[in-house]
Amino acid sequence: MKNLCALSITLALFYTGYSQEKLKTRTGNVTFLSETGLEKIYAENDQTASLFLVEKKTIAFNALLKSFKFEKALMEEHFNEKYVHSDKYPAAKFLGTFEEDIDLKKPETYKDVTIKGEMDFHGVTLPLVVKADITVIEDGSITFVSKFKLNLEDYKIDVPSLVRDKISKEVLVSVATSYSNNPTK
Amino acid sequence: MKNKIFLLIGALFFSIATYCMYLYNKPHQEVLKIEPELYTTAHGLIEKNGKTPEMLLALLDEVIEVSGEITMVEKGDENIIVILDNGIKCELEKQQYGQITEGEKVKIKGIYSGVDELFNEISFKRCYLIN
Repeated sequence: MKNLCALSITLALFYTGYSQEKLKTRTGNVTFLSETGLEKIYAENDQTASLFLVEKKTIAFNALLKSFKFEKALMEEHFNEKYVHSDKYPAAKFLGTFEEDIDLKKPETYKDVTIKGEMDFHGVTLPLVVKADITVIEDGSITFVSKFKLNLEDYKIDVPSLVRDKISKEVLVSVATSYSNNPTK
Repeated sequence: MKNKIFLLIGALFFSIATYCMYLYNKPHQEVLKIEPELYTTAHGLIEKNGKTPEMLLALLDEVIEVSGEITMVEKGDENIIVILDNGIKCELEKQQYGQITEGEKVKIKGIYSGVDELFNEISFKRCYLIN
């Protein structure tokens, strides 16, 4: 719980505290996919908030779990009520930094940048290292794309034995965000 | 007699299967057809979140109608987010992507989905412009 509060406070401080170049978006796309022989479960959140502190090489994400949209209403209901308990733990948060010496002012694509940080999900805060492709576009905007796996057990998400064959132990998470200097375009 | 019992058991199984299929395929809430749990202004909701955030918890998943001024429009690759009075975030449904301009006073109906701590915004999904 302490870790969770610390991460929340840090996220808030990142938003309000720094005067350096701060790129932000409210239209980050986060999806997750659980696929077994019996069932494919896919959900998408197109309103993930994210902040990119260019000079600090720091990136933060905040995805409200209730904002994930499923094809089937029942899946959405079960996801929130039975698995991630989104009334109690409303968001999945990630705060990470990268050390690679990349020039975020120069238009280029940087592949497999290592982002080290912490993920707070379902009341559990764990270190997380992910690979991401970061592309700097000529107008100064930046895109961030990453795919990684999350083990449900690590985040204390209990899958009842009755549906264990239908939900994979690891879910594939995809993140795609675009930080524009002028998000209204 | 045996036939009647088999018929009853069959009917029972059929009813259960039909109900399960209905539950599995039940549609999402039709926001436009649902009477809002709350009619409010963006300012009112922001104030409520500041003073008594626990009150908003009871409104999770409820349809709310909010009126306010569009202070920002953010266009993503897949969607459009409208910000009302610098504190209410609404993700518009695709069919609503008409001409939306900053400074416009609007009423929006959507499902309350929580507070985004990163930007301290009250978040709505499946939103529709009412006027």
